[in-house]
Amino acid sequence: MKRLLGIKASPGIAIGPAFVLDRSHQKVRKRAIRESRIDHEVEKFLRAIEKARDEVEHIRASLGSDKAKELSTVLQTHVMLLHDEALKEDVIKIIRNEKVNAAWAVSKHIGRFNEMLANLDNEHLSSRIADLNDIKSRLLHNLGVDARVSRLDEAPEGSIVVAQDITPSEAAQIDTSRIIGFVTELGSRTSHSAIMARTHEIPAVVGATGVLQDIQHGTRMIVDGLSGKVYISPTKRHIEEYQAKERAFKYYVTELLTAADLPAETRDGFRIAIEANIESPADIETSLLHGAMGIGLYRTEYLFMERRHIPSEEEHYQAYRSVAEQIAPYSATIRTIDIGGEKLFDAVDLPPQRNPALGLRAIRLCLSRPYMLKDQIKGILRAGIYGNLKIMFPMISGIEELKRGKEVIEECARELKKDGIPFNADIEVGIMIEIPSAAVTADILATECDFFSIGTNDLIQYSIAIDRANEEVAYLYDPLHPAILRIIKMIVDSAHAKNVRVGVCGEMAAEPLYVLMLLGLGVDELSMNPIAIPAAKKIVRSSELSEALEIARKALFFGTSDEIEAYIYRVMSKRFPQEIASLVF
Amino acid sequence: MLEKKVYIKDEFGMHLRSIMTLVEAAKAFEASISVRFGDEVADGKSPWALLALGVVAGSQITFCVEGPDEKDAMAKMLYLAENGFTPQGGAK
Repeated sequence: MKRLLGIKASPGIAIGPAFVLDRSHQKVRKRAIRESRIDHEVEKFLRAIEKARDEVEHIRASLGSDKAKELSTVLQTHVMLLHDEALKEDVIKIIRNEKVNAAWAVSKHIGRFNEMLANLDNEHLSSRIADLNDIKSRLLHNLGVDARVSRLDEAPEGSIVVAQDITPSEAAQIDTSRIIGFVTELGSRTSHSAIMARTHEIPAVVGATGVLQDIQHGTRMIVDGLSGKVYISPTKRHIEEYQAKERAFKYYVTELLTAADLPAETRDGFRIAIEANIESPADIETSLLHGAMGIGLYRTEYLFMERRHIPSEEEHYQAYRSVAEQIAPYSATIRTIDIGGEKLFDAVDLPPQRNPALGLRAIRLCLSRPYMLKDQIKGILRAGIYGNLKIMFPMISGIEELKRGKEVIEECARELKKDGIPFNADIEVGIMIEIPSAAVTADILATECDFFSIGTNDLIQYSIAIDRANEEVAYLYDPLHPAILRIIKMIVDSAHAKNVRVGVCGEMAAEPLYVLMLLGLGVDELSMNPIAIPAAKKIVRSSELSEALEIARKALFFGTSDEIEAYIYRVMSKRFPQEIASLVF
Repeated sequence: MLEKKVYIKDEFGMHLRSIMTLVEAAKAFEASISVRFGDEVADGKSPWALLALGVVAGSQITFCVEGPDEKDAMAKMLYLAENGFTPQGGAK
């Protein structure tokens, strides 16, 4: 047995025989052409180009479905490359100057490009090599070289295709009912084979260097598109293990995803909100697909990461408007810039800090540079017209900071009004509770805002006084420390007394083990990575509120986190073996 | 003649799709548009020439535009560069 690690390109497990896509038969011979036949050879080449253009157009036209849009665009670039006069001129020059056959000239010319791109040593360039090879194969085929454009149609049913790479036109014409998996030696997550595999929901691993070495037609293999592993001639034990994983994955996709749209409501009718954490408007489609009932945390720092400058009010506005429109009728909670700390950005010039986690970051940074915060707030207020947006301040340590933040909002509203720019003045304002001083004064903070969101990652770090990045003390990072559960309970009680809703948006919310405990502690909303949503919903929907209350009550009773963890694991793994076991993601 | 430097922001450098967007936009202008990267210069209306430049992410290229509509052409090129040569940018 041999195991390789590539790049996971499309999720799922495939177990089956290999079908090796061999391109070694595309060797082109160099032939000398007599002076009198050179015009004829050039003519032949021009006809081959014209034919290739028609063929690619034809494949593109046959694609049709929306899903294949990306491939269609790729093929459009091929048409454009075939139209370029420079290609014609360069190849014709080789034919005339060297007095050689057209096939050789094409092969030489495109080969030079591939060599140059390969020498650049950039992982994203391999897809371009695939593009050029695709065009080359097609031209050679049209020039009569025995280079069939694709042999993929010969793959027996149930095959795993193994190739150096898949060309775009192969990807476009693939018979997905016969192929159960893909492994390629080249490529990245953005190469054509990867895009095609995801589009057709076929498990795939790309960039598996050396996969072609020990493989023949029919060699049994396992493709694990969840982790990027590829097994060649796996043992019986591995096959059995992967059959179980395959079942777990199919269960996840069919059972959990199909039920993802149902509300997160316990059997006795108690509802909570399950929302998604996102980093960009582009994440919303996936969030909705996984059943998100809103965006509980939009990390706007990524607006900074994508650019070299501080985003303008207009850039903020465009991003938030897109989020508001896409997520409607649900709401989206926009966390104001949470930078400083461990995250470094070119756009904001920050002096080095001895202890950044406790330094100038998040709301502190924003209040020290109000122009930055104001552009963002104005963007949110303006975009608020197009949907239900909420503003959330991170790293609030006490009521003064919250009041100052709200003053900035009021100032922005006044300025927009003065300038006659339309905006929504009626936007909810909430805060992240992640600093112990805020947790302890939650009752006071609750008088000044509409909602809380507990950022468990930082709350745990600050409460237990550990630096997660420090390996010596990282073991102390413990979501089930009795202090953490008590703090969450205290925050919830203080908030509910003032009719303020409480969400949890840290990693703790995404952990299936803790869903019922958090529900029992009184949390109203859980916001998590979209992929975790279906399992969380399933757990809520299969439970009764009384169960959750009992779990929370018992968890609060124990004096050590070991006891709490053992208890929760026992109860949850018995009730939800599938969800707890499916932590493979 | 106008000359302007821009950064290639796209994480993939200049991939085929960006090249296509650039070429399609460039062809609409009468002005000649060339792209300089390091010591190499490519015709902005030829995808093969642009491909041969091998521009990678985060690098700087220079647009050189010359002709009657050079101002508009340069504005368009800068706009496309600012938007990462997305097809949406090209449609506007």
